[in-house]
Amino acid sequence: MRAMASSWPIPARRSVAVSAADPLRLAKLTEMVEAAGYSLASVDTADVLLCDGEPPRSDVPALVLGASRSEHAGVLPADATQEQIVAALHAIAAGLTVRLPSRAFSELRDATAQELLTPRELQVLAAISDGAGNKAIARQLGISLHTVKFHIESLFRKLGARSRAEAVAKGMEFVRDTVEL
Amino acid sequence: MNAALEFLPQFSRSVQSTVAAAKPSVVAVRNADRQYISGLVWAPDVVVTSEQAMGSREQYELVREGVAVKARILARDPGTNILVLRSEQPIETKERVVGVAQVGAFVLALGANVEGALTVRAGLVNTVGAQWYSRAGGRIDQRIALDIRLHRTEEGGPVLDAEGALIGMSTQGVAGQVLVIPTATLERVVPELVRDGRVARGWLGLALHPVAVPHALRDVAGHTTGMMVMSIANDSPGAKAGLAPGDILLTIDDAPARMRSMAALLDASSIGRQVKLRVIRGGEVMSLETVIAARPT
Repeated sequence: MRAMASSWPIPARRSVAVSAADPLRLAKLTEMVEAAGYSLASVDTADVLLCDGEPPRSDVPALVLGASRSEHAGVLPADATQEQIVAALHAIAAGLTVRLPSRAFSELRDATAQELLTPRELQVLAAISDGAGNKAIARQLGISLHTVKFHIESLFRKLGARSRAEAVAKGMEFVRDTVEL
Repeated sequence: MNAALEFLPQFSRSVQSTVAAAKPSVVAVRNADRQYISGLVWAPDVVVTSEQAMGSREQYELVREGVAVKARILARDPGTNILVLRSEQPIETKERVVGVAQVGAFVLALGANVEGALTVRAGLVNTVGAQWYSRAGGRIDQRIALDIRLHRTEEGGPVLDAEGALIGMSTQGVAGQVLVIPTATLERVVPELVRDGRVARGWLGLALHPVAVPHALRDVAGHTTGMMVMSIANDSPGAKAGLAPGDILLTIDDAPARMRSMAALLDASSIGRQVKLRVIRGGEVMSLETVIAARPT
């Protein structure tokens, strides 16, 4: 999907309103939006808002650069690159939500054995996120269907998930725990 | 006017004079698109700011009261969230007085706006705790959190006590909590970054993921958790030890392989030290040896 974003045709009626307190910044963002093939519109008539800082009150989905709150359709850092901004506009125009991984400075914590997944549970989680069913997982890992169900039950309990989709979503956060030492 | 009524104007004047005296320690760090954060003037040609809040442009401007000088990034350490810029021209600054954070103490968090004019927030030291390790593996000498919120552009500026002494640099933590990188950490890391362009740390060359040891292996392993080897850098100490992806690291020199203890073990003094690694491979526990290297830049 990432590779496709830049080559997606933009529906002709998609229009963007740009807001920024700083006039130079406004000019720069406006130029960027036009270069990406969007038409410009006012806040009242636009399909998507692109805002540097907090956006004006509006029901239109907004891509906000450097937002402190996260209720907007899209949130990117203040120093997002042109490629990131254009890709995010495409995604928001298509009705998607855009977020970057959290970057707040935080403490290194060790999880307990009850919270951590076993290597087998990690394999099962990877297979679930590939869309594999229980039978396919059993075949792939060379274990019985009963054992697959046992691992999935344990996986759901540790992740606090009630569905496979939720397990995959929560598992994504988990996988980020890889450290390079 | 009685004493109680006189206190508030006095307090206000006192804060204003502390802020005015601190002006030479603050600048805005601005890029060509006029995006900016705040910076702490460390020396006439060195400005310190928040690593996580900075991009990676070639050129920046340091701005104070509308006057801009050019600067470039000298070095950055995500481990301690410290980024160092070198200014092309000297900036006026003043001698640093080191402050120590006390819980409940009144503090001022200084920043700058896009034109380099001062911004100020006032609050209290919310918590003070022992040294801690960041997710990027850096050691922070003290856990200091404030009870204030900062705008994103105010991050990276100095945090002062009521006397105007420097407690540290402001840093956004999780869920908007404002942390302080203590002056002790800045004094330890900034000179090293200026001199060497990096902070020396021990290195095994492993990408590790914490895992629960499977129940069937807990008795033989003697531990309930370990670190699974996800990948190994070429010619790294991990590669020389003969580690393979999928191995579960249990101990290093008999200390359990846990994220915090490993971050602590791999400090600068560990470079060159021979260590014994206990790992589980294919259901068996085995011992390997290697020599800790210096983390490459």
